[in-house]
Amino acid sequence: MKALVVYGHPLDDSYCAALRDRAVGGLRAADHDVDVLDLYAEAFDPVLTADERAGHLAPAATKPHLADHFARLRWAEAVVLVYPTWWGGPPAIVKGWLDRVWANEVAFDLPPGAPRIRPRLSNVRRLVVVTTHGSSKWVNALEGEPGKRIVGRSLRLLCHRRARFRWLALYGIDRATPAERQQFLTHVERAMTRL
Amino acid sequence: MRCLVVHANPTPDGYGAALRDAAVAGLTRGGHEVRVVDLYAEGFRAAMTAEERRRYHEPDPIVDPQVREHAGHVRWAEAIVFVYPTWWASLPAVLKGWLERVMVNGVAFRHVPAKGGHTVKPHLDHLRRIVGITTYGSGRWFSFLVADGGRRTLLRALYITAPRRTQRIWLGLYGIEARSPAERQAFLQRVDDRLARL
Repeated sequence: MKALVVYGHPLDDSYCAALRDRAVGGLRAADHDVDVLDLYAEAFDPVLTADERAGHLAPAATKPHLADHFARLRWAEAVVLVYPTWWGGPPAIVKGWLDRVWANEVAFDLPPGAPRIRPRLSNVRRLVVVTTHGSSKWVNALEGEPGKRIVGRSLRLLCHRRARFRWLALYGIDRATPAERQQFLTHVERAMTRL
Repeated sequence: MRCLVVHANPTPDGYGAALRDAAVAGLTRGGHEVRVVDLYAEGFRAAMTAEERRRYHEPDPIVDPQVREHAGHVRWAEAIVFVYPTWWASLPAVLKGWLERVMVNGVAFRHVPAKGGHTVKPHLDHLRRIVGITTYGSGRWFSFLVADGGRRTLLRALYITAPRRTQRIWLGLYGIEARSPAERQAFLQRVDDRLARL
């Protein structure tokens, strides 16, 4: 399977970077084709521009500056997001990738007169989030898991009709033991070998 | 009340700007003190930097003078009013980044030692209102059932760092593409009226 791994953490010596490496390792071990998009390393600008907003229903070809990102997303049969959960959801750099790259004629279509957008990412059959939460599972439940809903429901609806969503999360990392961290790394790698 | 309006919209003269103006007009009419930060106009950086992340757990994690200025606005505010368009069921990246970079240790919460590491304690003790004003492409029930990530982020995740008595107010215009000019106008009026009696 062709897997696009989207990574959004500013530090390359972070636990999140280790998660990315183990996820990629698992995918490669299972003979998947992997493209790693490191948003910080590629200096991705997450702020959708006024022009992009004005042309948000214009054809994708009118945004040549995003063509490479569009192509990478269209290529993917699996999208694996690896990020730390901040304020309940994906960091700004990942949110901005969604804002700018999950665009008209890539992630959705809006035919004239249609009441709502139609999904277009039928190439994506697996949607995976690998994330860490500082707070406990209980606190996140209280917050209503906005990040999990944004990806697992809102984005999931744009993918293939039978696309599977997988949520791999380590809660309470602020107080996790080294053993728990190790265990989660192994868990992520194994989950990726069985994508 | 001292009110901070946080505005995030790439279009300087669009409906989002009209919503911000309606909010400011209502607040002013209600006798409130208002400060506005316009994240797009200020060119606010969305992504937390590597240095900011490295210092995240320090007593004073703020590096950028612009972030320090915004943190001052937050400390001043008794009400924070967010005005933004909902994209992919949540906040635009620049607003999400504002939370991540401004609402840090010593501003929104405090890191305190706990068994096995640390935990966070609420620190927005001065906050009496959290207000969200947003437009949705999708309908009310669809938004509510599918995700409503923006509302959950502001009225739940952010609220946890405020006192329990803090009031949460949500003003949403759903299915905006299908709304008539009269409906859009009515929503502006609703925003103005509601904020005048904050």
